[in-house]
Amino acid sequence: MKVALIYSFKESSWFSCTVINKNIRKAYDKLFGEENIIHIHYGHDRLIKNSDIKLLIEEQVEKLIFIDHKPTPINFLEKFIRINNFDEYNPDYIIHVFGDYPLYLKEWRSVNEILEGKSVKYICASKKQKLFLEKFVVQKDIIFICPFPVNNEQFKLDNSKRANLRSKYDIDEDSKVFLFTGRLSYQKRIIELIQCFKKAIETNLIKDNSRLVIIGEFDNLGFPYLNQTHIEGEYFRQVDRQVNNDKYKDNIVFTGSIDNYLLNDYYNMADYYYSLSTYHDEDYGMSVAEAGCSGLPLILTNWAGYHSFKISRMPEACELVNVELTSTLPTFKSEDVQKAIEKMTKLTINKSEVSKHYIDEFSVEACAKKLEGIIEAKVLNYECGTDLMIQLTNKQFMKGNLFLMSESSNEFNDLYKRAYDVYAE
Amino acid sequence: MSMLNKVSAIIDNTSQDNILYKQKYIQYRDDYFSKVYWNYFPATDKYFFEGNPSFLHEYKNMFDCGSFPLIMARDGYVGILEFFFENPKPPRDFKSVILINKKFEKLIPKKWKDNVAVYSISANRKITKSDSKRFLIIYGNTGEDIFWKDDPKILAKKYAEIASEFDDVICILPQKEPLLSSYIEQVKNHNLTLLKEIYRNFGFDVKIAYNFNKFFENNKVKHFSFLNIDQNNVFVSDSYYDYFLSCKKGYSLNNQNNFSTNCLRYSLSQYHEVVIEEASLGESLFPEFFIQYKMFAGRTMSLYDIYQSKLFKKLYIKYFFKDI
Repeated sequence: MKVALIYSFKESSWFSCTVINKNIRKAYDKLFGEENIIHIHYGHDRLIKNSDIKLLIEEQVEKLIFIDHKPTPINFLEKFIRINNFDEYNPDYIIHVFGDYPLYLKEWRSVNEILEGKSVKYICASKKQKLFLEKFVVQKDIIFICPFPVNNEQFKLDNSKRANLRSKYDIDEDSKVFLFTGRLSYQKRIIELIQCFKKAIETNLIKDNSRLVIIGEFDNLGFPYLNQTHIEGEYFRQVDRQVNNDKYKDNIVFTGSIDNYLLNDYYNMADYYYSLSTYHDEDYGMSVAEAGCSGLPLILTNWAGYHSFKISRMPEACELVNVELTSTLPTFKSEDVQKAIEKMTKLTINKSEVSKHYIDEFSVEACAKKLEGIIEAKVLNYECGTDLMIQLTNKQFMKGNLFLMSESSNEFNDLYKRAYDVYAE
Repeated sequence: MSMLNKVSAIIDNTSQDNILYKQKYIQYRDDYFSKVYWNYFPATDKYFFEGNPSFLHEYKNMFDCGSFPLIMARDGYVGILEFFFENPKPPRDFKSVILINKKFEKLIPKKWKDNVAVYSISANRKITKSDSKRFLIIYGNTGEDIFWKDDPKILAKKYAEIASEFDDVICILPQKEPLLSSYIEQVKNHNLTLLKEIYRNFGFDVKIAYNFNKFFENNKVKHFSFLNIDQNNVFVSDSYYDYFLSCKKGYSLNNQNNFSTNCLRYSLSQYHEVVIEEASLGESLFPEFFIQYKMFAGRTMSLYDIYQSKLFKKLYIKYFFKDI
């Protein structure tokens, strides 16, 4: 069987997407064998070579698999249908969906229209994202779940690495280290992450030699859905004010950006992965999956894709903090975070067990097996998008901002709740 | 209350109302400034700090300045001169504090002592020169003022000497019409001459880019140092280019780190900070500049006129020029 992987050969500006793309390719290599895969470049400039389309037709490639987050398949499909005669060649379409799906709803609506009557499968990275996508795609049975794979050759438990970095950052052997890696962004709730950590020390839930290690670069995304834009450096200053001159300043370590090849050392230095993100399109959580595979127990918000990290094989390795969808921001209670920290830190968790179970669930090999099942599944031809998709794209066309109550309001409208309620359930 | 205590209290109590870029409307002092701002962009691009890093022309007048308790002037030589020529003493009831780049401390009139402090930008301890030896980024706007002292031939040679310590180098040199220059200077095409000299000194395989933003959208750079060719700081003394590269963990070859112990330090990113010190006005050169201004210029000398003035260029070279 010949298949085509369609993606940008150029790395994404979103680092996690670059890693995801690489690992998905590895999973497909395992599944189909490298010799049966044709790689087609479909980059951010959205240009497609005629020769690539002709190659797909000549080789009668059975499956066109879109594995990148950007751009949506729209331009590729438009060109493909212009050149291809569907009476003679009718491939299957497999589309991996990323967190930025709602940002390009208009394009996805057009993708839906083009793919009507064809064999289509959407693959989401988490259960919550599947529920989210079901709001936009009528046939639930064409939406599958396969996590974004983790390169478990890189991310694994290695107790020998624990001491080195602790000594670099002057962290005691018996200190509990809570680790966050990712973009340091408003919606990742870094300020709340710090406040809840400090409160846990204040209330003696954790010892005062505990550390919160924060790895990553700040961004200025703000919260675009609520028209809250940040000036460059604004969020950094907000966070810095929380930490600077605070009595717990020394308990919080900002490492800045770390080369990817060093990340596993940090996971192995830590005791818990800790994230309170309510990023509106947190469809998955690549760093969470990597942390799990490296043996770290997880303290997370029960928001969107994070939900999938509480795995049935070892549910005690992940504590989820309830999230409510309010009119302005998905929110959680500080007390619930404290409870989660307390519960997790009281448990004695075997890190090798955690690593083993998360590798069984999220490794390239595990994901290749899941993909195999998805490829084999029989589905009915694609019908159409949902009413919500039509309503939202019409609103986007008319007003620009999909989810605001009104131009002068800083509150979400009903459409936001209809779309995102599943992320907080 | 000392000046540093005053600045610290202002920063601690900042609200959105005190932040210029959080206001709905910003009125430039004159329309031409807008053109120059965009001509120098992204060196002039915005970033956030409670001290309001901004250009003095972004305030309509002194009354407007007075509505913000702290202003960190990103202006270079000409903007600072124009400001103090127009306001040799602060207006009565003017309570705000203006932070002036330490390089131009000597341009501050003594009568401003209760309303000024000086600032410098510096890398913090997370980042060291030795971490950043692999790759050098040489960049900056190639306005006429870059060559006030050294011509392109000499400068390109100096850049090549610095670059020889690095494994790899890229020059990002936006090619723009130098709006502030006189017609005579414009037709000299200094920027093209500099390019020619860069090719001569670096070899024809040297990597050159013209668009700063596009370069960083398309390239991930790590472990790098950077050299801003605008070291004269005639129009901009605190460049967004430097801010951006510092936020990306670049090491500035222009980095300064000799500060008095009595200073305030505020991080601007995980890797760099602004250091605020009391202004030392004992050796102010302002009277000498002001006399020249009064004698030769009259009352209507704008920053654009100052830029083109041979006299103030000469004074710049005499007092402020520093070799790379």
